[in-house]
Amino acid sequence: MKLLGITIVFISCSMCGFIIDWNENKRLKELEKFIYAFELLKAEIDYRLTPLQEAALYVSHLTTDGIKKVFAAFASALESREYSDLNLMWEQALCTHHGEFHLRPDDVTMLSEFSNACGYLDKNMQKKNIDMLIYKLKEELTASREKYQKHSKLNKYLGVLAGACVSIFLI
Amino acid sequence: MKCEGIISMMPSGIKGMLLHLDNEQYDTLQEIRLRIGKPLILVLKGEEYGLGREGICSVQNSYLVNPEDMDAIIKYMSGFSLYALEDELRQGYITIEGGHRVGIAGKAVVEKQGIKTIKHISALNIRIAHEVINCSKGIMPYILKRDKVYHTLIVSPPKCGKTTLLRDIIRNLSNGYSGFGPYTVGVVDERSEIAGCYQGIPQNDVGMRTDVLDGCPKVEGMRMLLRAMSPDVIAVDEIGKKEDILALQEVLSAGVAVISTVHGKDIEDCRKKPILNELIENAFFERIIVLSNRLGPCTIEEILDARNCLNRLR
Repeated sequence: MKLLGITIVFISCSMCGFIIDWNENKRLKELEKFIYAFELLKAEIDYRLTPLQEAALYVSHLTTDGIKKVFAAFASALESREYSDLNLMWEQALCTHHGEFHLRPDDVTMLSEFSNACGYLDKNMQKKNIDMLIYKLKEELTASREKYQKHSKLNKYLGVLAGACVSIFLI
Repeated sequence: MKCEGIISMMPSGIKGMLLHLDNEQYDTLQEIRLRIGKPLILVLKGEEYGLGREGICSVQNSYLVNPEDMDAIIKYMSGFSLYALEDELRQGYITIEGGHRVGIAGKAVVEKQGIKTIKHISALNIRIAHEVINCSKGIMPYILKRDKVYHTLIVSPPKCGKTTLLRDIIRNLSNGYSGFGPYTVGVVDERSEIAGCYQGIPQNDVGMRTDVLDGCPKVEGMRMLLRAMSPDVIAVDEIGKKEDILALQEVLSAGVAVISTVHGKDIEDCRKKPILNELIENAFFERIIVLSNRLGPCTIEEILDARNCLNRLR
């Protein structure tokens, strides 16, 4: 029985390390996907002068998972004309599908800044607004990736190590 | 309901009031005028009315438009994307889903001796586009010959139904009319008023053989259609510039019939404009149709044979 308990503790601690690593890996992929989505949105607006609702819908068609849902929800809110506040609509779209992401609160805050100047003034303004967001996301992605490469093995081994320590202590 | 699109673009307060209008009132609704701090005015059959909580009322008792209403309407009409309407905004109007034209007044921002944009928008005039099927019935026999369609110019003052008439002529030519045709019609819809395209698809009935170049400048559009779509007839709205005439001449030399409209009270009024006078003098068009609002929109005042000393045909 004791041996079984020790095994469970060891596996749980090891798993924790792997889950932390997996979550961070997912987060990086999601940031990459958001960058791609905003590049698509920028191209739609810059090249084809597509209105926001239509552009968001196109982006949702060309992306997957949670990002697809965020842009689809945003497009749907724009189409419904229930609110006149763009910030509210974008934040609602982000919040509704927040659970499907592995993003940190800082990432979500960064993403929510997109709506501040969205739809405001001319095409150049839209381009600059999206460029700014993409720049921030890329910066975050680069920093996080470096950090991830450094800590990936550490996270995994730390879990195993912690599991081993607790197991030894229990023995 | 034809005005569904417009109602959906209104903030909830005004939307609720507009929903009190009955179908007959919607059918006769011509304009919705909104000015910040002033009563909302509806124009029905040329008469002004106000809009209150129970629907139509006197202008004095009408709902006063506030800045938040204006802001919301502009956002909804532009789809939160004023950037997509920069060019239209510069000209003082935007065309919305359904082909309705919205005139805009506010503070013009001038740069390099041209209007860059309009800010502090304080007044809107929503002109409701009405599709009147078969309003061109009385005209079709005059613009059709056994083997051809006459080059036709529709002359009309604003609000007399020239675009409505042009749309119906296009529809009849495209579907075929009383044994004539059908013809392949190319439409250059610079202001999205003729076909009322939404995401490229005509919302108005312009016939089954009609190709629409939506939002395209007339001159480029006519050339593009001529080269690419091999039309029998090309239709354009509101010609008047010198470049338009040059493009029309190209169309004419290619053996394609032209149907167009122009602003003007009557033929004498057109003659006062040098470019139009040149067109009339050179008998560029074969038929000239003059419209008025005397008996309601699309009232035909006269149909002239432009190649026969402006002989009156009707």
